[in-house]
Amino acid sequence: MKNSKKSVNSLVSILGVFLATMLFGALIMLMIGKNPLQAYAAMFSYAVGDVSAITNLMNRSMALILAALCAAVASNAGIYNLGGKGQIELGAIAAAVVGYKLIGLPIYIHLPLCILAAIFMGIIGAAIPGYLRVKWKVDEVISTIMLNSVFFMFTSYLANYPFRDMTRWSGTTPPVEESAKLPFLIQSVELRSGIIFALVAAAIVYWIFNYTNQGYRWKMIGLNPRFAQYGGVNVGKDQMKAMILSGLLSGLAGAVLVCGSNYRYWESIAGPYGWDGVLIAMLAKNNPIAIIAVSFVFSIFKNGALGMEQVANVPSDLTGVLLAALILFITGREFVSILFRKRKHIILVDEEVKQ
Amino acid sequence: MNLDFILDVLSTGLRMATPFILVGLGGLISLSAGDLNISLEGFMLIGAFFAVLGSYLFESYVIGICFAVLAALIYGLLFGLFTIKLKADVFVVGIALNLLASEATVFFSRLFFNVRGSFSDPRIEGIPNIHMAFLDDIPVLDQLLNNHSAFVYISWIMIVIFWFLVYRTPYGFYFRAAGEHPEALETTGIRVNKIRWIANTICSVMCGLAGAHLSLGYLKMFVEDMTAGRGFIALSAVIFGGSNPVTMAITSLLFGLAEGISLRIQNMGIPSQFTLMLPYLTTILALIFRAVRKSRKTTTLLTSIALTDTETKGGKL
Repeated sequence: MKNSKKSVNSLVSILGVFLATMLFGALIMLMIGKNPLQAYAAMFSYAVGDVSAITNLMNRSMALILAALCAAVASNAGIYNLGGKGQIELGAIAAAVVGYKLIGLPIYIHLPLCILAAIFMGIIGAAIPGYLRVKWKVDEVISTIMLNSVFFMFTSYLANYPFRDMTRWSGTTPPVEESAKLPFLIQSVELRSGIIFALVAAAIVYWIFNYTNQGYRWKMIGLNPRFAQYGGVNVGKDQMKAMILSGLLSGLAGAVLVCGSNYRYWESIAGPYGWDGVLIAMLAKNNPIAIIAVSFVFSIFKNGALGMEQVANVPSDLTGVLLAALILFITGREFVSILFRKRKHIILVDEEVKQ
Repeated sequence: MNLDFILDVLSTGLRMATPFILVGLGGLISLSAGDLNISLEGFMLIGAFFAVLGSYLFESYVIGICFAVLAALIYGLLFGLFTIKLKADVFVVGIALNLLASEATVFFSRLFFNVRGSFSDPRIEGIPNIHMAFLDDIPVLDQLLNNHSAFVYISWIMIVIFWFLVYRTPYGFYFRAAGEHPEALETTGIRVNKIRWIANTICSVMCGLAGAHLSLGYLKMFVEDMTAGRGFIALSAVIFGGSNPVTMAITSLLFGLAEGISLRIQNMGIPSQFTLMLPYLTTILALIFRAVRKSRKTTTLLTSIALTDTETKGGKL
């Protein structure tokens, strides 16, 4: 009972923040002399208005969900992985190279090979900072941020020199073979099955978090590593496992980006996904089901931006501003409520002392 | 490899290092006060945009710089509000502010200038280059040190100023205390949050200056996402160089040199990715090196404790 009331409360307050963000956006639009109602209507009709819009939404959400899961798995276990961007790049180029180099394989061998290659590279990308953290206590926040750039430069080199598509201007690999493309879920609307990967991954992570010993240990480490250590948990080993799963998910995100929508690698294919993933995981409080919902909200904003621009003449970049505002509002809201709670608590304690 | 080429690369390196030094000095203060600000990139981008806006509106680079610093200060206010006042997660706020900067500058540039991508206009007045006549006759030094943009020299002066701030004024001590032992500082009657606000303000001003240098120093234009990872390189210089402004500046110079070399060899058709990787890679290696050394120290300490422990227990384990 209490639990459901709490979740209703948090849902109401999230809706409140969402509305506040929309109002903030409306205010900006009024200030620059545009019609906010028209703009929002266009945004939603472009993002969820028809079948092809929903297909686009799915295609954008799949990588976002995986990137957010990647961040969530790590931070749930008390170790930050801000390196999603670099790891997705690594996974994507691995999938792309395997996808175009191997010719004449049947799809049921070729496609898994691509995905495995991507996952392998993703795991390497995450295991390095994980190992450094566990073995020598090298701050993983800094090392993952730095490795983002290192991996990006590395994949940029690969895409510009050894694996470059000579028919294109620069920084792209040749298109992958037909046998390396994810099969269609619904052929008529060109919906690829990448979204299934994302949803299944989210379900598995949800299961691990809530129904396995491993998930329980991760949660314990995330809440209080020292307590977990005294309780007999091998913190280093478990955090390493979390980093490996995190890398696996980002590699998968890279594979889905290449095999499921772009069909080739190009420089900074991971684009905003890595950082957005961290933000989504934070907003969803590392809950895989909430991650799916928040990812769709992100995608609606991003896909609807074009509609706002074309119909209401509002610069599409406003949606990015709104997303940043949404995040700041939510972080602000949480901490404001914590402050209030603390005050109340202190007052209560004071009263107890007086009694 | 003739002398001219080497001097050219070195001089480019000096120029490239300037934004790292300016931002790094700010970031160093912020980090020593306990905030790992990963939105230095965003701060700088905001500064770069508003410098161009100010210079465009008033046809004066001084106003441009003022705009940049003011905008960065407002941004710093936002950062401080969330991290210091509301105690939100520093990384999340940092990522959000980076996102906000990159989207808001594009949004504003479409709003004010009606263009996207890049904006340049004859009305924009750049920061002048400084010509030192007495260097004209000295061959090597002239090529190396003369005719840079004003902020290159200002950044060198700043290194000295910051060295004094960190090591010769009580504030340097307060900053470090706020980062390392906030409780101890609090017991001396100094508000930790006040010190963090001061550090945050200094950091914002420096980022604003660096942004102004970036857009008005040589280019006189604003380009979408023109900071291009420089904030992160400055961050690595801060982490590599520690809290000492001089070592941080030397690191920045080396990183600037790496950029300069990449720029030149890229023109010759050699892959520049590996030289561009150097700042990040060396920082990670330095982190590992430091961490290994530290863990060795702790292990020896622990083993000695364990040994004395076993001795007192009569060697029974």
